[in-house]
Amino acid sequence: MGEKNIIESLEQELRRGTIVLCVLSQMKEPKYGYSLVQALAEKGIDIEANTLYPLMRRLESQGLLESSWETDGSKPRKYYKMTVFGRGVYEELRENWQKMTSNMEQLWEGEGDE
Amino acid sequence: MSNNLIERYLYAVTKEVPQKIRADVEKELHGLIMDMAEERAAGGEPSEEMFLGILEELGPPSKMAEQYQPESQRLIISMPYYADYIFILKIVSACVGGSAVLTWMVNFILGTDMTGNIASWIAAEMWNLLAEVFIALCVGFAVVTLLFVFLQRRGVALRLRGNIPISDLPPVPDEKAVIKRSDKITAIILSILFTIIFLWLPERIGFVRADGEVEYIFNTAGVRSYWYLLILAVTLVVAESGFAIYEGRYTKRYALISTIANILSYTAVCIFFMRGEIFNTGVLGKVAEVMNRSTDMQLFLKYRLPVLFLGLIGVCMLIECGFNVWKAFRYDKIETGGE
Repeated sequence: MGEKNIIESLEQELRRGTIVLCVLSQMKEPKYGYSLVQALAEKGIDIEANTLYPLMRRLESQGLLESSWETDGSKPRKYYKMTVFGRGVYEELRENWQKMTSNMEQLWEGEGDE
Repeated sequence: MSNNLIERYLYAVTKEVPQKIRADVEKELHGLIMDMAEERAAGGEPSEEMFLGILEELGPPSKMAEQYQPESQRLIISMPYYADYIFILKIVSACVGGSAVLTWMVNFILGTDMTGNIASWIAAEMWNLLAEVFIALCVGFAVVTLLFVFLQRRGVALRLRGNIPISDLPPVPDEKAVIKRSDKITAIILSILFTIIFLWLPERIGFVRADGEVEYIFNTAGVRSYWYLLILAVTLVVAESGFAIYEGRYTKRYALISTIANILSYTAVCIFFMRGEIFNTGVLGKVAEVMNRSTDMQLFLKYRLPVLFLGLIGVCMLIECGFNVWKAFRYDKIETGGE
């Protein structure tokens, strides 16, 4: 495996770990799948639809999201929004993430001293 | 045509997702495809190429469907079932493989008809053995796999091996306490080969007298009428060696089991060789004649030869048992102290 492949594979692992947090961060307001893909893309987070749709369904089965079909418009759409439980989980994950990034920063600062 | 393409794609995806979410997934993916097409067409009419591009971007239907499977069902057998699956598969394979060999041996001994071309007869018997072992392993593999697929699908909790408390983890064995796998595998192979050959061709074991005549020691019918004693002995040897491989080092548990297995297999061998019917009439006296011309010695050998032979095996067996016990007490102190 070349250096490029190793980096790609490790980067993919990093991304995979952050997807749930990215999705939850955007779910305070109800969103349908594709609007979420666009919202994330606008902020520089590219998640493929074939990953995101099944993920939202999984988060729903875990009780973090809830969904409802909107059939009033020209096309029926399934809207997802965060549940109260999901919000609690999200807040905790965000705190952990902040701690992790702060710890990482410290590690990098130490690296600079060497 | 584009609709057909979308329908075909959605059908290919949904037929592989769980029944209860099919309709929902179909509607949701259809909405997604239309949203993507609308955005790309920028107010115009989406083209067929555009739909094709969108579907290619979404990926192969089977991969898309896989994403909708619950984590635990993406693999036929995944963790934590996989470790138990391999554990049970090894045990079952050893049992069914061993049983197939034993079954073959029994059939071989009881149903031997050695007329005709011996080479083709050997080839046929070997082929039978391979076929029986292969079929037995396949059946064992299929049954265990199906069982674990069922257990995983049902989410049945397994505690087959349990979690050893950290404080009770076995010590790293001293190099001298390790039982060599190769020794035990050799013991298994040799004991099976010996039993097969002995039961197969007992009438070929003999010696040449001074006058050039051949004396055969064993009586084929007599030997084969007590086949079960030798099978019992070899089974015990294989079980003891198998346990040694599993244990991997000299422990008190292994010392106990090997002593019991050795005593039982030795007893079976003794009973076998004490049966007068297994020897050709008068052959022991002839052995004595060849070995020594002294009359006293001839008489001694005639009546005592089997006892001497068994005594020699017995001494070897006692040395091995003693060695195993000594090794166990020497190197198995920490683990048994905690039990």
